[in-house]
Amino acid sequence: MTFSYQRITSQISRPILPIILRSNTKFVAYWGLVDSGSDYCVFDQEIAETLGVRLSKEEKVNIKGVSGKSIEGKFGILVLKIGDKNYKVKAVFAKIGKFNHGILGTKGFFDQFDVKLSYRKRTIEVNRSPQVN
Amino acid sequence: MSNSTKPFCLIYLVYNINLYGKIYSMKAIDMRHIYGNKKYRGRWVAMKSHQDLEIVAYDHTLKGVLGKSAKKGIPHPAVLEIPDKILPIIGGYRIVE
Repeated sequence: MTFSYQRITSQISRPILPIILRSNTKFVAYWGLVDSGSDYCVFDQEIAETLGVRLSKEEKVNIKGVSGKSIEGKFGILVLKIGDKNYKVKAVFAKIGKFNHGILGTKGFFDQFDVKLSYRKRTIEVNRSPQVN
Repeated sequence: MSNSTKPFCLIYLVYNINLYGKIYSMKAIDMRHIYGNKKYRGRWVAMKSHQDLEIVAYDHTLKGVLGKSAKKGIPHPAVLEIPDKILPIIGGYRIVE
């Protein structure tokens, strides 16, 4: 599958994919930034509330941005759909609202797909990869 | 299509698709009209779909924007939260102890 970059401003284009986030009964069409620097997929907490995703009370994480400000995140499991592939993901949900889109990180995205980014061509090639541990 | 524009379209196609049929380059999806619009800053926006980026509703909360969108006949829009300021991203978040 090949997707195109998103042009945010005249100076900024980002590799952002159209994704569907799904619980047992609901789904939300959302966007996710391809971020190989992130170990997990991260989504806004409001998504979890809307979908009714049960967030772990025991497994909490504090996430720190470059600004140094710390926010609390909780793990939850949902179904992520990219292209025609649906699969379960254990993701972090936090109040990342001002980051404006989800983050597609190593666990839950890069462990499912081979990804090739080309800023010059403005393309994001996403191909299924065999499951690796 | 007029005859004068046909050669340019052909050149564009040849440039974008190589001999193996693979896409050589794509035009980035232009979101500037959404990110650049001040009334959407700091709010959730709902677009008709991932393909049709027409804004159907906006609100301070996801629940609110989905409700407004559903009233307009779009129960499953593509949603996005627009930041107050559009700044470059340098690095990401990290988990701390």
